[in-house]
Amino acid sequence: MGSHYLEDVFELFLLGALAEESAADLRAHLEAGCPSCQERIQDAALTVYLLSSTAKSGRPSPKLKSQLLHRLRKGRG
Amino acid sequence: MTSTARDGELLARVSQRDAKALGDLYDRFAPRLFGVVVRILHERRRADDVLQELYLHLWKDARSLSETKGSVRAWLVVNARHLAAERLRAERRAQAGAGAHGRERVSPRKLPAGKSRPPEPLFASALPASWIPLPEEVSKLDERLGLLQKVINQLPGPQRKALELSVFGGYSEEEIARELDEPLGKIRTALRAAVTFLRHRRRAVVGTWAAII
Repeated sequence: MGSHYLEDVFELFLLGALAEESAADLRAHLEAGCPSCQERIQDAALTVYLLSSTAKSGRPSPKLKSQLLHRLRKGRG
Repeated sequence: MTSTARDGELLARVSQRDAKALGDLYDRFAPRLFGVVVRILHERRRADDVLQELYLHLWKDARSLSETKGSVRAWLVVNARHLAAERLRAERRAQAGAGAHGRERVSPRKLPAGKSRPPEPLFASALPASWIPLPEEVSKLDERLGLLQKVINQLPGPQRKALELSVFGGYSEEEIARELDEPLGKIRTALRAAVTFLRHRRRAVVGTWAAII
């Protein structure tokens, strides 16, 4: 399967920056299993990971972990 | 045990419904993920809410994620940003809708009281799972994160600004153009140039390419 996508759209797709129509088109193309685009999206995810990682760490509510585990237990019960 | 191996071991246990392992993955990554989410939402309470939702998704999707052999760390970081940005977009849409219908304006930080929020799709469930990078690649990136963050600062100001609005503002190309009062073509070019620059530099820094930074 040939790909007409330029490499620079994959990061923007993952970021949600593309126009809806372009994003839907690329999503359908990926779902059809284009192997070269699968590689590109995986590579693009590394750039999105890097960009997201520029945020400084923070401290969530101290109660959050116990609330989360409580919800899991409730879900299983 | 390496950090990457530990991530994989915990994910495998979560996929077997081990809640303590999920708690351990929470301890390992929650501060980092909270930092991403709160930078987008600018409110601690809502960031807590998104973080909890993210880990509930992980609990549900752990088995399929484990089968892909992809990096749980990358799954968490990319989806944390995605979930928070989707929430911000939904709130902006609600605000724009309320404004268009002449109703009371909704704060961009809050949904109307009592209004249920539809679940935002995660990329992990909306795309073929092969988008998730391999743990070894993510580990190499983490080792060079300090240097790579300096690379981001090398971007020209207008490109950095447009990228910031996309990554942490959840804006589309068109919205960025409106926000900055610039032609759409100029913003498209700036964003594409920025991600291309970062991709090339990232590959060089982690050793995929032999290049000098």
